[in-house]
Amino acid sequence: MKILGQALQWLSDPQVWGGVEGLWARIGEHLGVSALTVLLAAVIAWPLGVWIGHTGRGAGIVGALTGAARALPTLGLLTLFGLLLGIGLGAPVVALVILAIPSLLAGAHAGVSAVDRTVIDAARSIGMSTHQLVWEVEIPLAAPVIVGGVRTAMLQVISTTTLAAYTADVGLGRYLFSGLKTKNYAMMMGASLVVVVLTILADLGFSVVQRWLTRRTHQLSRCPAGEY
Amino acid sequence: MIEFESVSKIYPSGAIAVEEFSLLIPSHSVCTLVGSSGCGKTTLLRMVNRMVTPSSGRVLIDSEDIAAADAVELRRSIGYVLQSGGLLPHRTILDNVITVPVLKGRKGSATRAHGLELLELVGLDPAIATRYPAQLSGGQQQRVGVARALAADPNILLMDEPFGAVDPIIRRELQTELTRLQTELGKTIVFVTHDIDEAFRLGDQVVVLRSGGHIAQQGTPEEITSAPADSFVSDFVGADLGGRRLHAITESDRTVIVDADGKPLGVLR
Repeated sequence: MKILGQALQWLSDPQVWGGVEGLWARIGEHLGVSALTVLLAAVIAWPLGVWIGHTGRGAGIVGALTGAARALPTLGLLTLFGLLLGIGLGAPVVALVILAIPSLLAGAHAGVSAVDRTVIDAARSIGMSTHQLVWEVEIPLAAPVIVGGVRTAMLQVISTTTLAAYTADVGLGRYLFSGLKTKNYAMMMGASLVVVVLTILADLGFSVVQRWLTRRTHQLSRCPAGEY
Repeated sequence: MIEFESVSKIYPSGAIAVEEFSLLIPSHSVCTLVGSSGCGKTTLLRMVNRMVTPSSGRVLIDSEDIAAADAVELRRSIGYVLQSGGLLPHRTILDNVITVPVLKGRKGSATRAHGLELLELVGLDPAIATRYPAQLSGGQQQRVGVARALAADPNILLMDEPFGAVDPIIRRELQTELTRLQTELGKTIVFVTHDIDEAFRLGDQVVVLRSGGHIAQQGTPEEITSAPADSFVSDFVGADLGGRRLHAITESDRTVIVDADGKPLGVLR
């Protein structure tokens, strides 16, 4: 418990928060890298997930791919890419993108493939092209599940972005790595708490978005049937 | 005018949905295709808007082979009403109604105003325009489905058991409304149903199908009732079972028509 007290004391020091290398700046970097990573992963995972969900082709590979990718150790990947790409942000971003892809892919695939077939059939029957069907029907109806995937990916990435400091001077992981070297456990603990809080806040934020989208896309009866 | 020229649909599994089916549906008339499930009636309907491509044979609209048309354009030019309504759950009622005009690139206030008129035309309060499909009853959703099918002012309406999922009272109401609409609009309507009473009530021409899309009999409701072609048809229309055998009894100076079970159907004037 003593360490927790010290950690809180470290966090209560305004000097820790300010400056170009302060906690605020680190939080900014941390969230920036996390967001960039999820964005890059989405660029790869969403089109693939939507395509598989739309065509129903290759649904098996989603399960295999997400299972396999989830078993990959991110630290191992980071080391591997660190050796390949050298010092800098490249290696952690690649490793984190690989970490984020399974959740995003699963979300896009599950969301699109779960859209009611009769709605899809109706949309086609009245003259929607495949492009319109995907963009105006399947994606909007799948949105809550797609955002669910982002929520999971964001959770994993924010907590794992600490590893970016392994090869780059970026993010909240800096405190962990330098704290480990200098035996400054209060600082390590304090930074960890910040990561935990960020993760929880992000999760809450996305859950709100998800609920809003669900209400928007899956309107439930708010008035008793037969009011009209 | 819609023509089926000996169309067949054979699935890769070898299952025959429709075999050598030919039929001519004149313009501005209602043709009901009636048969039990699996007789190929929905398959035939969906051939008209190319949701199903025939394995052989041709479908012509106004003497033009639809295989040559662009499938998406063709579907936009034909109204389609489904049993389940098939409304887009994430769009408001008005947006659902004007889906096809918007797909054709006609957005704006004129289209929206036309959408509201259509809601009125099918007997709905335009105030529901901002609601979502799930907030409506089944009968209301079907009316919206009809309004949507009419939105691009198509010459042809395809209706796939549109009133199959609503209760009998609402169904009767919707049938009456459709008859009223038809006298007003004079579309060419192909109506699929498994309910012979509905087929008789709505069809200028009724086509009774047996499995494989084979025509058991076609004609006006009067022709089919008075002279069923064979035992299949008489079974189907209920002539043999006494379902259509009526007689009159006199009850306190009025002549009441009763069916074979003695249930009163109405008063003869």
